[in-house]
Amino acid sequence: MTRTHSLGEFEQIALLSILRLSDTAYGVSIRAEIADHTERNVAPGALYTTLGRLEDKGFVTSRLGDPTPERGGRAKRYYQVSKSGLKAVKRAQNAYQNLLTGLELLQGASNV
Amino acid sequence: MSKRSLPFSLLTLFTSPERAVSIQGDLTEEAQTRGRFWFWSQVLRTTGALCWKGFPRNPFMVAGLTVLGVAAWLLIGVVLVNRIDWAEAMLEARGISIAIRAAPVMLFGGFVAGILMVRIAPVRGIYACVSAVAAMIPFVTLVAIINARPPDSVADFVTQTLIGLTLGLLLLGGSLAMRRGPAKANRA
Repeated sequence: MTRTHSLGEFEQIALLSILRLSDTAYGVSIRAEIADHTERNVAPGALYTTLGRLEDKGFVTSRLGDPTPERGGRAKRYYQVSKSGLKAVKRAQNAYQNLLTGLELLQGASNV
Repeated sequence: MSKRSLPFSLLTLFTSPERAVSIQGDLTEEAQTRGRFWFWSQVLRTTGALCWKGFPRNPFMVAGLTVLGVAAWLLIGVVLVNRIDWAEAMLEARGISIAIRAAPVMLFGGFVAGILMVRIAPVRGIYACVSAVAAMIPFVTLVAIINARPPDSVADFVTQTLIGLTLGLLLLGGSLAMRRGPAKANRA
């Protein structure tokens, strides 16, 4: 039996942020992206543990960039969503959409 | 690049050196606009988060190691100063001589117990050190409450301080053992 991992809310947010940032997704830029679009100020520790968990699940991959002076000569770790990560986030979003279908929750939401 | 900095040492207790470097780099980058206080608070919070999230799913191994570590700490005490009544020394601290005789043993025992736990189980050992400290904090608090009245003697103060320091040395022993190799065994 194939084991499928489900995605938590913050995991979906992290994955979508990485997708939006494309090739420039690393710790600082991911936090900024999340803050810009969700108005949530995420603690670095929460983000790193989530990214580690997503990597364990095989939903993201990471690679080291070049060291930069403003970081004290330390390299950035860039993240990329894997194929299974993309599938998982699509599956989760579809589930939300299916659950919302027929509900009137979002009608008039733009007026709020 | 200074890999031996304190933030790096703290982070590598619970993550691989490669990840610790990039995390420290991220925090350094943001600290340029947020300041040093933010940097250090986030180093501590991130270390705590990595410890908490990385805690082994099956706690029995950690619990066993914790018991072993505390037992090693007490055993060292019994072997080295077998005539000391530990309960009396910790809870009553009736004489300065007991506190002074117990002091090096308690400190040394805590340090060795920390090293021992990490040597026995390279990755889980540091979690066992954290567990041992967490388990002993209520005991230390109890001792402090019992001795909350004005100190009867210098020995009260000395003993309470030493018990607190012992917890620190337990973690220090584990941390040093991690830095000497087992940290490399952490998830890459």
